[in-house]
Amino acid sequence: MGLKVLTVDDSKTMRDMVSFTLKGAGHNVIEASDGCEALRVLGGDRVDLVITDVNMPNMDGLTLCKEIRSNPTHRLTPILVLTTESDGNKKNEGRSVGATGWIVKPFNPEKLLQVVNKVCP
Amino acid sequence: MSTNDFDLDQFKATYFEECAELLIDAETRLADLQHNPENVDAEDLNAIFRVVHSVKGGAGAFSFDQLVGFAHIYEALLDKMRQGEIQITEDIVTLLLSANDILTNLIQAAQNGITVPEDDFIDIKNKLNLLAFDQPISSSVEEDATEITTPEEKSAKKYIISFTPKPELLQHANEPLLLAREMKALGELTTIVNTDRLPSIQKIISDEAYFSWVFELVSDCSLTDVEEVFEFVTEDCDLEIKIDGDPKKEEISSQSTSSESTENSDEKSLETTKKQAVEAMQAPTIPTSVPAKPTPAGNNQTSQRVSSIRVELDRVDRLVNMVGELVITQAMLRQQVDNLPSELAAFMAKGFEDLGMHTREIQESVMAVRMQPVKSVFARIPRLVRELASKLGKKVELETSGEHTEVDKTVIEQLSDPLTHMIRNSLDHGIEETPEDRKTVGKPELATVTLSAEHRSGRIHIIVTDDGRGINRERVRSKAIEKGIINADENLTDEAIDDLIFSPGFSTAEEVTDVSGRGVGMDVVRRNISNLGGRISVHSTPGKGTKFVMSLPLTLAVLDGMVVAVGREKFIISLTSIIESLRPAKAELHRLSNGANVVSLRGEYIRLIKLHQLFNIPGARKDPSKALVVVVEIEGGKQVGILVDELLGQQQVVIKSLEENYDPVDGISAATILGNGMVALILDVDGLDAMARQVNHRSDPSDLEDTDTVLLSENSKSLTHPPDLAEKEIDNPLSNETQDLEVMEQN
Repeated sequence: MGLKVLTVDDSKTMRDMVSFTLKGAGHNVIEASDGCEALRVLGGDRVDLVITDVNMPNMDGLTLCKEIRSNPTHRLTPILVLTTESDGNKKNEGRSVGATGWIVKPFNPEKLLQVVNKVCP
Repeated sequence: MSTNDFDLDQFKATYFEECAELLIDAETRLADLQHNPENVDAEDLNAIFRVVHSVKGGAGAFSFDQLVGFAHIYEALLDKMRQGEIQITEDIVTLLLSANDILTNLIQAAQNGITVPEDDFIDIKNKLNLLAFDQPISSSVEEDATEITTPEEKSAKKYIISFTPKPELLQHANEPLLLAREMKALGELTTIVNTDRLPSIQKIISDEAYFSWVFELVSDCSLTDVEEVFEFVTEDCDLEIKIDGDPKKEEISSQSTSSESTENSDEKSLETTKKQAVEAMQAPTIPTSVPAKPTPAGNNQTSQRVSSIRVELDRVDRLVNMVGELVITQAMLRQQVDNLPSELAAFMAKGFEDLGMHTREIQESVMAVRMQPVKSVFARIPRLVRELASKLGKKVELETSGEHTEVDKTVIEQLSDPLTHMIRNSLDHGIEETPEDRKTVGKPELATVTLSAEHRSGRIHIIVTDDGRGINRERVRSKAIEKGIINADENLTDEAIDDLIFSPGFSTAEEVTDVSGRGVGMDVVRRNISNLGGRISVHSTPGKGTKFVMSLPLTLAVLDGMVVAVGREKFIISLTSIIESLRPAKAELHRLSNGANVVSLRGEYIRLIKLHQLFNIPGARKDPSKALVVVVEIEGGKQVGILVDELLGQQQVVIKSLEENYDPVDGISAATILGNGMVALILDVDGLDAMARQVNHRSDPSDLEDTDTVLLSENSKSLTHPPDLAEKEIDNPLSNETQDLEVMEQN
């Protein structure tokens, strides 16, 4: 049974790679290129997981986290934050806005699947 | 990086394409910063930061280590700048510009699978590093890239983990059950749940965490592995991991506190570093700078993205091609309508009218898909100007406008080379040798080169203007005489002299310079532009400056043409080059001593080009007074008259390249397929003019009527007459009256 995953990244390369990896593992993927689009794409629909980049135009990943958490529908949706910052700063910020976990770049397909598995039933 | 079962290479193309777009964006925004360092738009800095961030992200996935290393430092500096920790000064903007150039080079190198010698950019890298981390090249990148793993002995151990979640754990969508599942995958797990905290059912709040657990895990995994299970929840729970049977029985780790303390100390050291860097920065900078200002809300709208999809160009090309075929098929069917019984024909004609309208609309929509703003080409120019200016020791400022002007993708691709050349020429020859030279003639030291684009009457005009010394006509003239381009006694207008710089073999630079002299002169530029159906002209005012105007069709895929008949052949002349057409009276026709025919038109003599003669077409009207003259404009604004039998009407035609499908043919720029399925050739008026001159120069006038200038071979004739349609063509009323003549000639 595949999960329904929303991947949010302003970089098409990154979206493609995340999407390809997850689809390869049998999940369904929808994409958005920034926070605003992500909220639009989500609408009232439930997804099983959101994977978002931090630095994006219009609405960044941390704001997106906050927005998603404040919506009763998505209150308990796991959110993973993609970050290049491994210094813990961004992790803390992510945590404070309700992110479930994080994936430290550089992007690695195995790591991604492992983390997805970790936070999704 | 272990990606054995997953090939990331397939995303490289997307990545590099994306990089190219990102760099253009960064370049544009840096130019904004450069022009307006006192009033920086915070969104510009954010956007540049995101560019570098994205470049780095992708580079990491593909293991472009050199690129990652540089991007990391550049990104760190930009991050500080957008936080307002580093003030923006002219020096910093210059540094950013250099950094961007290096980033571009490194991306290029990664694309070509090579690395750039570190020495090439170590200076800039050091400067960036000093500002970003307050130290020269650090090991921070390596720290970033390598995960520290402590090797541990592999023997079964018993971990005792006590775990008490806080409410935040659930609110962040973490789930104790999943943690248990993950641990179970590591080894043998025993779970003891403690329900002491559970209140009576009335008092239960769904988001509260009431249970706590003690897990006993027997596994040969390392402590790190166990800690990793709780990676995301360390802050949101009380966690204690002990190893049972350890001789010292000591507590190995209390994750939450230990990680906190390291992070805190990290932050502290970071804080001090930041302060030092800011202090270090303030010493050498000019205190006119202002930190980034938050973006006004309305400002954002212009940069808001239009939602779009990315489509391979191939697909669009296929679509354009198919629409072209559709237009042809529709025209073919339309011709058949006339053969139907009249009441049916009227009905069908109405239908075809609608169909024609829709087809045209489809065609226009498809063409619009390929339209792109010239911005992508313009964005490369600032860097070019910067590099050239520093190489030449000149001070030059570039101003651009109209970068949102749209033009077909095919034209965009061809634009870059001539544009680069025009800019080079302006900087090298146009602008005075040194800033001092400018000062002595009362101009500001900083020279200005403007680059602009605009739509004008169905074409795009690209204009390069400089405020330099203008064309030195005396020197151009003497040079042209010396090179044998003109005769010493020729009397030329100023415009004609200026135009000489486009003559083959002309170069005013005393010596071939590093900048302009690349073995390519302005003559090649003009030729390349005219190959695209474009024109280039120069307007110069001595002492004031020079203006180059390049005019190109908006698309190279379709053309509004006039269909003309010569004998049995049909040709297309581009509507944009046609000025008028006329049937000359005998008295207006004259023959020059060199064999050229001219027609006098309102007091001016216009040279005639006899198509039937150049292409050896039988059955054409040879007497100019019985034929039609189509007056067209050629290179340099000159006019010539093309002699044809008939004008058959205007038509939009789909251009089919001759080079791709056959071979280049002199005097012909491309081919198209007409409604009746016949191939018609599109005339290249400039090429025809050159051909006609040659004929006039080498032939005796009396021979002209049956000259041996067979420029189209038998092969190419079969191209113009597909065998299955050739027969039908004979019925064409156009050629009826000339058929007898033709038979006679052939006999």
